[in-house]
Amino acid sequence: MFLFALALTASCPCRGWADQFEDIRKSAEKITSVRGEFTQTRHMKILARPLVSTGTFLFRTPDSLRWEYRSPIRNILLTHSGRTNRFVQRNDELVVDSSANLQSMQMVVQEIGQWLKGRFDENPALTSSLEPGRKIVLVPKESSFAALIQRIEIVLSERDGVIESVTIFEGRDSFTRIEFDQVTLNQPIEDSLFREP
Amino acid sequence: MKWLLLFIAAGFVFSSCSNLPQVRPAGDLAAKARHSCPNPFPAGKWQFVHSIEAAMPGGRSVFVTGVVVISSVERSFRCAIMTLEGLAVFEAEWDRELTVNRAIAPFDAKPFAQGMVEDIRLLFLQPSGSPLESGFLANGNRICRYVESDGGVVDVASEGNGDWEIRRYTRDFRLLRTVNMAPEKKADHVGMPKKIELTAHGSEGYKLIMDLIEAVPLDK
Repeated sequence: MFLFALALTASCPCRGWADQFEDIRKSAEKITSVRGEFTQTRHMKILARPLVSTGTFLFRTPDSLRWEYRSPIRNILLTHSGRTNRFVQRNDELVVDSSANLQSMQMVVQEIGQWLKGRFDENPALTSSLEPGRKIVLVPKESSFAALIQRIEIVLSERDGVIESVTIFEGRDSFTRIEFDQVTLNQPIEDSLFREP
Repeated sequence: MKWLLLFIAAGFVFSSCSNLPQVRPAGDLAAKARHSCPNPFPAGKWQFVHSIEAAMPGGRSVFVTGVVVISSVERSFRCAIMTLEGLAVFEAEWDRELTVNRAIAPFDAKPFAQGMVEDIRLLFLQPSGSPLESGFLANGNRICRYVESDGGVVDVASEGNGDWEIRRYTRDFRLLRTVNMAPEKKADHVGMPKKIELTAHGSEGYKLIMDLIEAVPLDK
């Protein structure tokens, strides 16, 4: 579900400049691909200093996704042509992570399609609101979901179709912030980047 | 009384045990001292972050990130397991007793929490008390043998190449865990095991392959 939130929010082509979800939806219709770098900072009460991960993110309509951590441990989530896999670096090779819950990943990919259409407010599991400062706040409705994630805050960039940051709150002292950089939109992304490495 | 029982248990262990590797006593008294025992355990307070591959029965592997903040002085720790994306699925602390602060399925079973505490203690806390036997194994590796309060036995050995091996046995000498550690050579955490492999023996056995991502001293 975390990945779900991560991927969806990161790929959101919102026109944050908009005051209404309808404007975001209209803006999203122009997006065909998103590519960028990210820095993920994990804060927990237990940690004396936060954990920092970096990586690359690719999305191409209708449902191709590559979410790749380069450090500290390289691992890649790939979705393409209806198939989803995760690969993890083990010694000098990437191996398939058989623990990944692929069924839920398929659901994630379906949701990504919705988000690409700017449909933030159509997931029945989440309450969504637009707040000042180009911020979208999503709150799980079900307690079972809320046990995992309390809320998600998405800050839109001033630039059309670009997300500035996503923060996923698990608890009062526990949250993950993902900040995006070098984001490009609507550039061609070759098929090979969505295939098995 | 506790020490008397331990002493009796130890006597029983070392007089009747045929499953434990035989220890050839060290020749001099200094070599028998606790401070000369193989010691891969962190001293002071540390934060460790590992990438962990858990190889389960049936050939499945689970990849997670593990965080441990441990104090050798207080013999306590806090720990967390996260998915590779950073979602915390388990958080707990141990200070003479276990407190689970967060547990998401499938990490919410009580035996899992108890087993994890036992594994963390084995990996990061030097067995308490003085070794009841110390010396050398038949292969020449240095070893110290400890008896736990429940009668279980923990062997801590150093190998000729600088690696360490820890073995934990039940009170009836059944091998429960084998841990192999290779030391880190990076300047920022010299001596901390860079790679750890823990094998849990038995029908429900598993293997944890842990690679050190970060070691942060917290005493400074």
